[in-house]
Amino acid sequence: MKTIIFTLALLLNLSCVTAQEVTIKKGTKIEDVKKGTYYKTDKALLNKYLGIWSTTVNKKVFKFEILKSKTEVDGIFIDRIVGRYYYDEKSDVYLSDATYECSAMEYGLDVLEKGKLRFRFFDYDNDKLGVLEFELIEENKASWHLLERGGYRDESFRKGFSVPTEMVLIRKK
Amino acid sequence: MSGTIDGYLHSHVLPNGNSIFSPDDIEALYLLYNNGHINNTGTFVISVVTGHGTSYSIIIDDINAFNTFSQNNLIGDNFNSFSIGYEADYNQLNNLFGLSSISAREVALLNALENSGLSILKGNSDYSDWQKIKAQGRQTVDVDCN
Repeated sequence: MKTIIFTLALLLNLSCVTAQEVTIKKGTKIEDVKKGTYYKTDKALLNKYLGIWSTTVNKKVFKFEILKSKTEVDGIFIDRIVGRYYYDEKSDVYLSDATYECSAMEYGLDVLEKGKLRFRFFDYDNDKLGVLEFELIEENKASWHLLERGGYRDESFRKGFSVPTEMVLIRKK
Repeated sequence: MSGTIDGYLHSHVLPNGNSIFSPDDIEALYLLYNNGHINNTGTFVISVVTGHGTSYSIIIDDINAFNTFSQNNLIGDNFNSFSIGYEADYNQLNNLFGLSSISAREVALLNALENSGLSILKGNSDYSDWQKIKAQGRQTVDVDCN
């Protein structure tokens, strides 16, 4: 029994050493970035975006869930921001590998502070990308503005989007 | 769009425009090539002038390398991974390593375009001089053209 407890204690200790976490706050200067470290984004800036945002359009519930995603870049870990939408009761769509999550294009502290995120939006019904501007209007209330992306315009822009392009969303408590 | 072109110039305006080419711009270059709209890949050039006071051009140094790179990075699912990788690299350089937004985007894009067969040239303020650049660690350095 003592051996088991000792082994568990050793493993817990080792996991603390190998999985170091540092929270990045506004004004934090990282002098020495260490491989294997998880550089977490300040919750105070991140949490105002995370969660499920919803509204009802033509008697159908639209939901947009914003999550953080721990991502490895060159041996260190950072928080990315991703989003996924649910519309027309298609709640199992993300089980398919063909469906991408939406991904925030910038998620630096300066950007988070401003209250506006831009996502690379994937419309899984129309199989096309767009740009989503998600802006906090007030606490727990945000505007949704979906745009065609720039660059070379192939024929996909004629399809438009399968979800509303202008909405106001409320965050669920 | 129909016919072929020799190049094009576009702008990125504030507040949302990037200070350098976006992943979508790189994809656009491939689509122009793949759809037969490039007159001569050896002389083709795309440029961007941005509201951040920066300007850049891209030329194709090696069309075979660009074609292979495009298959692996710019088509279908791969484009999503390419964009996410570039954006994560940018955010890491800017947030953790403290590079300015403009420098971080330069380094991140140069990293993303490694072995792409493309070269990036940086313009001066009156667009009279264009210097080829490359990433070296977390910096950009001039490429000697001699």
